[in-house]
This record gives sequence, C-alpha cells and structure tokens, in this order.
Amino acid sequence: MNQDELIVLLQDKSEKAFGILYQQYSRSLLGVIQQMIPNTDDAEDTLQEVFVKIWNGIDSYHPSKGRLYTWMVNIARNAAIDKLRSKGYNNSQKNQTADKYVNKLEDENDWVNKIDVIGIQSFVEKLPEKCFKIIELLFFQGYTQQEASEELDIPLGTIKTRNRNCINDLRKLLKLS
Amino acid sequence: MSSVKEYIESGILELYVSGNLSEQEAQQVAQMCSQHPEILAEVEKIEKAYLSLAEGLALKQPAITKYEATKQKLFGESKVIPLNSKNKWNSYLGWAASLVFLIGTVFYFNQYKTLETEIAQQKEAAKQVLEQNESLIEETLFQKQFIATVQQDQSIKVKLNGQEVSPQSFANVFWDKNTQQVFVDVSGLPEPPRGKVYQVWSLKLNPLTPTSIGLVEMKDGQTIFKLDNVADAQAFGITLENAGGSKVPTMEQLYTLGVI
Repeated sequence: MNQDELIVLLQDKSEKAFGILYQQYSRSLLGVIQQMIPNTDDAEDTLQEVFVKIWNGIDSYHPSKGRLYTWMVNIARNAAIDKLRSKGYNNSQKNQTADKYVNKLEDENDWVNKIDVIGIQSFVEKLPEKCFKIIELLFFQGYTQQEASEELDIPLGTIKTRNRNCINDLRKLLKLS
Repeated sequence: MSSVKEYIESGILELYVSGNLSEQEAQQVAQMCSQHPEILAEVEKIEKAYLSLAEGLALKQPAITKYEATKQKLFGESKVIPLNSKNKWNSYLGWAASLVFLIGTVFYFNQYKTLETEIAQQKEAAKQVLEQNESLIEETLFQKQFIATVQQDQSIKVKLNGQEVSPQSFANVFWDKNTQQVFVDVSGLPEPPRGKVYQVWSLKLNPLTPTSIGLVEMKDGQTIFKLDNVADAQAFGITLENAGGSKVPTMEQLYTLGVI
C-alpha cells in the first residue's frame, strides 16, 4: 500500500489503516517526543494524544500541503510542548550534547532495524557538533530558519546548505543516497 | 533537468520534510514533487533519513499496551467477533467437562473434542469476517481510484466502437495521463463464451504495436476493471482470447477499437 492509498483509507476512517499508520510511524514520533520529554511515561502519554489528534484531524490533512510525516511530526512537537507546559517542566532541552545521544543509543538493545541503527550510531558519534545542533533545532525543536540562525549565530543563508550537507551525511550512512 | 538538480541541491527539500517552510513554500514543493518524480524520490529518501534518526533516538519501542489503549479510545470496544449465547454455553460445558474429568476421562475427552471443533469453527468465522473487511477496503479503494481517474483534468475518455465480429459492442476506456492509471467499462460487451476472456490492448500506430494491459473476466456482474498503467498510447482495443490471454491480439476477434 503506498502513502496515497493509506491516506485515502485513513480519511475513510479505516481501523486497519490506523494500525498500519501506527506500525510505520509510532516509534519515530516517540523519538521526536522524547527529544523534548525525557520521562518515558509522559512521552508515551503524549504519543497517545498525538495519535488521537492525527486520527481526529486527518481530514484537514492534504498531500498538496506537505508530507504526511511532516504533518505528524508537527503535531508531535506541539503536543510535546503542550505537555511540558502542563507539567511545569523547565523546557531546557535545547542544548543537548552529542554525548547524551550516544548514551541513549548504547542503552538501547532492542532496535527494530539493526542496520539502520548501527548507521545512526556511527553517524551520531562522527557527527560534528554543528550538524548535530542544526538537526536538533530545525527538526526536533521545530525552530524556524531565522530562529536557528540566531541561536547558532550563523548567517541565515548558511542554514539551508549546512542542513542539507548534514542530512546528506546521515543518508550516506543509512545508504539512502 | 539542471534546474531540477539545482532545486534538489538547494536544501529546500530537507526543510520541507522537517517542516521548516511556510505554508506557501511547502505547497510549492508539494507541487514540484507531483511534477518531477526525481524530486519526489529525493524527498522520500530525506524523509526516511529523518524517520530513521528519530526511530533510533526513541528510548524504546512504544508499549503495545499504549497502542491498545489508543485504539480503545478511538474505536471503543475492540472489534471482536460477537460471542453468541451458544459460546457461553460452551464455556460452561468446558467447566462441566473439567468436573466430569474427575469422574471419567473418556467423557471429558469427548467434550474436549467438541470444544476444539467449536474453536476451530469460530476461528474460521473470524477469518472470514477479516477477509470480508479486506475485500471491502479493496473495493472502496478501487472506487475512489476510479472516481479520481474519471474526474482528473488530464483524464481522457476513449469510446471503443464495435467492430466487424460484433458491431453492437462498445466499451469505454478512462485514462488519467497524469497517474497513468487506466480503467475500462465493458458493460457494452456480450458475456464471453466459456473458456474465453476479453483482453485489453493499448496500441501504438505506425507501426502497429499492441501491448496487453490486462484481462477482463466478467463475473459477479463486475463491468469496471482497473488495468495496467499506460504511459503512452494512441488507441485501445479489446479482443476475445482463450482463457489466460494471448501474447498478440487475435485480430479476427477484435470486438471493439477506439482511437484517441
């Protein structure tokens, strides 16, 4: 089933399609949420809220606006922010270090796809701080290019190409080039 | 071509996937994707990279109990095959059988066999319901695709007129040049004789080059069929062939033909 077919079935409120959606994206969305909410229980509660929002809002999604995944990641980021606010967390997750990522990866044993993960692990280890930061801000934290340029103190025009180069490195390791 | 390459290398696609573009910019990229398969392919790889990265950074696989809870919230009672009273009676019998076991194992085994049969029957019934659901999903999808194909601006309808062997016959082909999807409506064809099927061909003229794009087996009153995708054609034709189809059309049995 390709993505367009999946979207059609989701908009038809097919329970089976929901199962497929969950299977394909739940872990990735949990990963996005956990970049902001380290507490596993809270993160998983948020994941549930996210899927409820996806399901209830699927009619407002249209492929002409962007990717389904992008739309869902956006919902996940916003839900995580809401959760942080409601729990009174101090949202100070913005300055993560590469070490923290590597530790997370080493703690984890039950990877779904070992090859991908080995790729990610070596990528994160080799990742220059600047790459790591830009992906963190743009993708995981949902900063605008302008905000990221201010936070990293680099010219706005550099953001796009630097981000592209970093994602290219990641793709090479994941054999997605 | 080179402008597509420049577009890809500009870095806009990464920002598109990570959700950092304005609504308007994102719509433009979405449109570029639908027009240029190589851009779409690039976007899909970028998406896979982000997806894998986030998966790798998840501390654990989402708990299955959460999945169940989410489904419960969205769909209410999980969909189980309703148990009728007979089944409750059977579970009662099961307990009774266990009691009887203390008295005589022979009787117990008989009951056990009955339960086993019942369980097998229930499993079979459940399987059938699942299969029905699957075919309903397929059917809905088919209908949606057909409607989408007919409604597309780039879609064309080709009327296939009856030929010498069957002048009364006709058929309609719907072809969405954009998605290359093809549907045929064969309600104007007679039932094929036993052991025969209709075969649909896309044709290029000068020189005449037929390509088979599917067999049509009229059963259960179905008259609309989805065929193989067609990138380029100048005409469509339908011939009557032996079951299983032929490599080349039997021109003496050309039922309908329509030039685009």
